[in-house]
Amino acid sequence: VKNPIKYSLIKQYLKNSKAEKYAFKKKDEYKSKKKVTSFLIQLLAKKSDIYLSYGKPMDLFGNDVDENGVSLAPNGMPVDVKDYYVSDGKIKNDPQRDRVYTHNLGEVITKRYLKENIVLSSHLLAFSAFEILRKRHSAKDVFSLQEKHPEELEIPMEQLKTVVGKLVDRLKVLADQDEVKLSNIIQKDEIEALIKDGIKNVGIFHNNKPLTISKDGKVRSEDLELLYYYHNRLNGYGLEREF
Amino acid sequence: LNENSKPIGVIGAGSFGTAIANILAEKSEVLMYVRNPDRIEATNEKRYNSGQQIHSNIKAILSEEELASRCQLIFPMVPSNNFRKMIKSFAPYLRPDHILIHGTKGVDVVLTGEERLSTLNGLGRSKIRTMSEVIQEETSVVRIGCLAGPNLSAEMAQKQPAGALVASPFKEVTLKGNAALNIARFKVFESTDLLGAEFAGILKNIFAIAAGILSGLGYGNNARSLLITKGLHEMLHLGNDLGGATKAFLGIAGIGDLIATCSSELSRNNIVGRRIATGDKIDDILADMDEVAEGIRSVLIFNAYCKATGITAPITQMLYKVIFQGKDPLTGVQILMDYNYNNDVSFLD
Repeated sequence: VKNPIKYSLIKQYLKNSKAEKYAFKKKDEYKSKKKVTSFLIQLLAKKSDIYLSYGKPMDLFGNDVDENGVSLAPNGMPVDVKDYYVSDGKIKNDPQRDRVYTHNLGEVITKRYLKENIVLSSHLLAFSAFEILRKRHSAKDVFSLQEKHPEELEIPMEQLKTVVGKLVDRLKVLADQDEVKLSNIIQKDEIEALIKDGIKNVGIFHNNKPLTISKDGKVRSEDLELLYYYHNRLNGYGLEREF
Repeated sequence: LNENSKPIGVIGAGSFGTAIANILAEKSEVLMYVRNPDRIEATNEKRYNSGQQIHSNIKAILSEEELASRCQLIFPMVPSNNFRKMIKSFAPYLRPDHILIHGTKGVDVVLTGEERLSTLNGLGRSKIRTMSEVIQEETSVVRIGCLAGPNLSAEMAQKQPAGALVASPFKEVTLKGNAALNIARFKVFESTDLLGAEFAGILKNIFAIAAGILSGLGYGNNARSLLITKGLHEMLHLGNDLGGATKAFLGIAGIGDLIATCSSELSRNNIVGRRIATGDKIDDILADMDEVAEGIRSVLIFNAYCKATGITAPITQMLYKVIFQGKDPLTGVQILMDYNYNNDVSFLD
């Protein structure tokens, strides 16, 4: 709880990507006892579903592995993994070769992640809201949005409904092609319930809310960095082209 | 000849495969896989194949299993339209310790159900495969490279000096390819950008057809130089979008091969272009050819790619109209002369 990965990862990423613009401005939100207590109460009190997605097992080279632990090449043929390290008939140490294997494995994991990822309402809402704001302000990154006046960052509910509806249609097409998995609520055709559920659940483990709804029906963000973090869960599907 | 090392394999006995086998044979024993039993006799007895003398270190064989079990380093030199079928027949005998360096300058297209290449309305990158991607899909081989560059078979057969690029992310592949091919008359360069080298070799064939059309229309060096310069722009534009880095297109596999193939009247793609300029129909031209002109397939495929992605490639798209829709070649050239190219050089900006 002291330093949850979810929060520190986005800070690390933002710091690395734009070091000159970004600094740790806020104090660690988990330092004060009061905040820790408040966080724990929220965590225990709120009801939330947990989704687990079991991907197909793979070996160090990105090959599928069958139930007997045998690696299968992309064409389905069994392979002896020792042969990946053999040159001129002998096992040889070759750090450059192994770096390419590591790089290739990274590519396979990235592709597999996109397929096995389960889209939750919270991810979809964060993605929709962030992309609406990014598009509205022609913003390249989260920093330029942080400089805007709060009123410029309000999203009318009707606009959100249209965008979420469009993205759900696209996600369903991708799911039919086995390119992604969808949680139950996204498969239903109830956009209003989906929006409500998404806003309620996004950032459930954080004190600052990535999205809130005001009484006049406008959607706002208390924390654009967190919104950006949850938005990133749907990167890689080309959904931004739907805007 | 290195007596301790394994023989080197060559798959395919076309003019380019035979020329490469002859170069490899200067330093190594070479096993050349041929599909047609007639070629066995031509190669092993008459020592003459695809218009070339056969080096005494080359032996032709018919068995995929023998080639794969005796050779660790193999050079597949088979046209793109037959490549997947060929590599599938080798797949049972190939392992992750094999090294494959292909020399095929064309792409494979993954079509489903009733889709046909000639009637496709658009074609995204997800349906296009380079030969290294076909090898990855169909076999357990990972150490893959490609051989690209200005290598006109007829000049290689005459033992004229030439150079080529071996590209692979694996240093082991480029080192072994270089060691096997580098001889006094054949200079080998190395690169880690496999996709860039593949797409450079693939895309230049399109402009070789255009160069042939210009020759057929009676135009000279000024028009050809204009084509080569703007063709390079177009190759870069398409190649970058397809996943190749700019550098590959500015080296021997890109501009080098583009100049050779656009200047030579020996290139198959150039011959196709000249015949189109004189009014011959594409079906008749293809029926008369012994070997595949890869550029024709490339025009079809990359025109469909432009449609799917919205990318503009004026020469490629005009060639499609001339070759497949009967547009008059002279009118095509005039339209391209009117095209609004804003900058002389934009790719270094």
